[in-house]
Amino acid sequence: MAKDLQKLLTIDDDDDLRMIGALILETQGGFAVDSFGSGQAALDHLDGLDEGSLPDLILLDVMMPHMDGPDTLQKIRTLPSETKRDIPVIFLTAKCQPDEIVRLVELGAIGVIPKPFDAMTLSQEVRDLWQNHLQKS
Amino acid sequence: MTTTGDTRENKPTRSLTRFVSRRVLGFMVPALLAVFMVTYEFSYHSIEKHLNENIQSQLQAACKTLFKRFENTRSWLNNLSRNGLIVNSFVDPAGAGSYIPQLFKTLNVPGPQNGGHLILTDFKGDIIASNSNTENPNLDLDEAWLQDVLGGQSFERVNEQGLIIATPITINGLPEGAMILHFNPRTLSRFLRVSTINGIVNVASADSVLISTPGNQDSFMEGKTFAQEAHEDWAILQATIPGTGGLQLITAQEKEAAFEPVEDVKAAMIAFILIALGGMIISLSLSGRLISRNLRDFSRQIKEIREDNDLALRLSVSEITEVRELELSFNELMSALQNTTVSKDYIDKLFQGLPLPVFVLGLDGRINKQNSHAENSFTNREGEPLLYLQDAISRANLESHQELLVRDFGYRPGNDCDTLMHLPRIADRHEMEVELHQGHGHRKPCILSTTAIKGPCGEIIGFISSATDIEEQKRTEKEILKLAEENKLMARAIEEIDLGVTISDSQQKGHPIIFCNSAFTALSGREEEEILGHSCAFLQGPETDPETVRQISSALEDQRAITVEIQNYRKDGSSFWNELSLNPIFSRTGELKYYVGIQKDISERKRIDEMKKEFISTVSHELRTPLTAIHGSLGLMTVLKEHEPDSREKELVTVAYRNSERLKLLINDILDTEKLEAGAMRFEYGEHDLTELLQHCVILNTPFAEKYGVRFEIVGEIPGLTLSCDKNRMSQVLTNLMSNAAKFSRVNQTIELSVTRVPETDELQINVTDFGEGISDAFKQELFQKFAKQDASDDGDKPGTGLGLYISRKIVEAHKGKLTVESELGKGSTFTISLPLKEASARDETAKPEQADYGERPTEITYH
Repeated sequence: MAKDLQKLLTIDDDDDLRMIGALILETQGGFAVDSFGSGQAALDHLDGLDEGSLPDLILLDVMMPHMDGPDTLQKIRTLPSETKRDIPVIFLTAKCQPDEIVRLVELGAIGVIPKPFDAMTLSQEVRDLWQNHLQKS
Repeated sequence: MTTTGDTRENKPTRSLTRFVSRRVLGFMVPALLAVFMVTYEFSYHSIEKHLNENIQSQLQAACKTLFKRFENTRSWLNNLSRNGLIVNSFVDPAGAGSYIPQLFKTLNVPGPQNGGHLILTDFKGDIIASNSNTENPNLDLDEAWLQDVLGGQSFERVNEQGLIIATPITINGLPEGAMILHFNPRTLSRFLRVSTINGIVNVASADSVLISTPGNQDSFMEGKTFAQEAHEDWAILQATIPGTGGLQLITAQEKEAAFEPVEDVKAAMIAFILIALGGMIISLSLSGRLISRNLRDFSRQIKEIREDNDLALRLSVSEITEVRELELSFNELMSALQNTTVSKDYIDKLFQGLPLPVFVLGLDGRINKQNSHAENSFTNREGEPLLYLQDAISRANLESHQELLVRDFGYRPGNDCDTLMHLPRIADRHEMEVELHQGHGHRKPCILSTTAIKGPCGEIIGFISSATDIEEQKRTEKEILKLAEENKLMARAIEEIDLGVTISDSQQKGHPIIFCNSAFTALSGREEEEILGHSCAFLQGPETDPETVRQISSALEDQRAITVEIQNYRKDGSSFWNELSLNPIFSRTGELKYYVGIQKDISERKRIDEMKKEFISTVSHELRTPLTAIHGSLGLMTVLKEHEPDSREKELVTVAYRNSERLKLLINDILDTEKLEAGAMRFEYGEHDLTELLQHCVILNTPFAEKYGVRFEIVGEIPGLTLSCDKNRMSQVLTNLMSNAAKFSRVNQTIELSVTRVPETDELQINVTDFGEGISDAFKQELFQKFAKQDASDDGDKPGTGLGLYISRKIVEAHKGKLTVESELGKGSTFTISLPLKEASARDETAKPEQADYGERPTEITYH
């Protein structure tokens, strides 16, 4: 099913980084971005959405207090709604050793984007991973 | 004791006087009698001998006298018979008739009381003439005299009719007649009277007494037949007088008369004996009575002591020396007895209370005494031999204690003191593994330890045996064997392991190494013999940190375990980093026995660590330069856009500036950490007023307070103290604590700063208390470590590097203080900086000579 990438949801505990990330994706990539400071806030938001207004992709920070990226992913994957639990996820992480990337992909992410991300290329990277994911499925 | 007493009581007793009298008289009377008998017999015999000799000599003298008298008479008669007139009368018998009778009438027989008849006869024996006026006696001459006389011999005859001495008268060699001298018994007695003789003299012919001295008894009377047998109580001697025709001289003395002196002596001796005995009895009874009176007093006093049952009572002393000595000795004995009784009680209690079974054995191996433990544990009874199974495995080998004594102590019954002392095999102590009977067929394996009890001259007088229960030991023996196997494995493992292992003996001076494995010899570059017996100190060298060595010494002194990283040296002088772990090994009694040292060469790790640190340090430093440019530029842009209307651009600049600030702080923290760890951080100590310092920090942290909507407040009284510290660093610590507190407090909460003094530990405590979320116990453990961040609270609003508390702790420790935390989840936390009130450090003395005002002991914190 070919679908255009329009709506993004970003989760990052660092306020500045969340703001910057959202700004880059909105201005450079032309995406509609909802951003949240914790996994729980994002889950609450998802829970309240109807099937039609769901984000196409989630950008998830790995290192977060309380509930980190992998935990949040686990929660998303166990949501009651099948469409909600199948939303593709890309991890953002400062720890970008190959082992770590493999681990994160195995958790069920469609890709990993290392921090610090480049404002010029971030949108394209997201779009590439999305395309890649679509082709695989 | 009791047995002896019974025997004594059963024996009949008698009084001392009677006892002594019986003993003394029983001996003395026979002795005196014996002396008496011997003396008596001796004097009797000597007197008898003397008497006999006396009589004998008298008899011989008398015999001699009579013999001479006979000889004289005979020679006179011979002369007469050769007288011319008489001879002539035979030639001229007619003429002779006229003068011969006249001649004979004038003739007197010589001798004492002469009275003998002188008769002249012819060869037929017819009387020719006589000197007697009376008629001639009937001479009754028989053939015998005729033969003798006519043969030219003289003739003597004696019989109851008297004595006849006849000599022949010869003419031309032919006998013509005879001269006869005749004594009738009356005249004969006069003739024979011998004056030299005392006592009774009898002259007898063959069978009858011719004469007898006066006063004789009937049997000695003249004319009676003499029978010696009839005179037993007479001392009689007989002698034949030669030349008298069988005359016998008999002397007799009545023995009674002769022994009169002996009888006197006998009487005197009897009297003496009686007097002696009497005197003895009197003196014995006197002294006996005297002594028995004292002894009775003595025994009465002893009885009183016994009835009072008081060993402390003492006897009053008597006036008799011996009794007094006895009583004094008794008193001394009582004192000794009192002491002995007390000590005996004590020893007995001790003996009974011994926590292991103990038997006291006699020389025959029988149990004289056993303590209650022994009695309760085993079936052995007093008075019986101590029986046991010697060999736990072959249980049939029953052996009596006596055999043991012979075998191991060389004792045999009857061995005297000297023999025992010189026995070559004699032992003082013997131990053997046995099984003792517990009754009901149960047996307990024990170590029976036997010691000889010795008398004053070293002779064995008994044995003492104690049994140690080894049942548990036996049971664990198998396990021990198993353990030994495991130990072999462990020893192998220790030998093979890559870590250096040493064991040092902590009970010897200098803690010499007594074991090391091959990894250690390789690590230290030394041979085993260069290691064993030496202290670990040979590993130290010029670059070894003295502070680490001091830490080790202190741990050894406190008998603590310690793990340090220390620079050590091999034998060839090359150095290596050693991760040394020392662990004390204690004995079961809690005594320090060994230290086990585990050594690991961590040179490589150290090198990598150093490289890492250096890398981080370099990188951080290198980062600072571009960061400064970025930070400066962004700061400038922020200032420039301050008065511009809000725009996306302005917002981005603010974000960029804020994050470059964060980066700057992070790099500073990393560099601080590196400095602190390398010991390279410099502290600029100065005297700072405590109140001022706190107020300074409150002002410094006001932006934080505003940001998090909290309030800092100094509570309580702040003591007027001067704090000797690096003000900036101390402010850094306080700021860190205060910013943390602000971060974890809720809006409008107050954060309290307070100061307390702890006199017990001489400490000053600065407390930063918040009433926020608190810290979990798990996190408290790692709170002061590097990069420690609590997930729960470190969200985006509350940024941190995770190095703040680590750096704070290090700074406080550099001030010889402690940083601690107390916290309860949901209620808040209190961070406390504890600093010593007094401290005499070299730094204070040298760096601050002006501090002399504050007293002899320079302190970090002083009053003002």
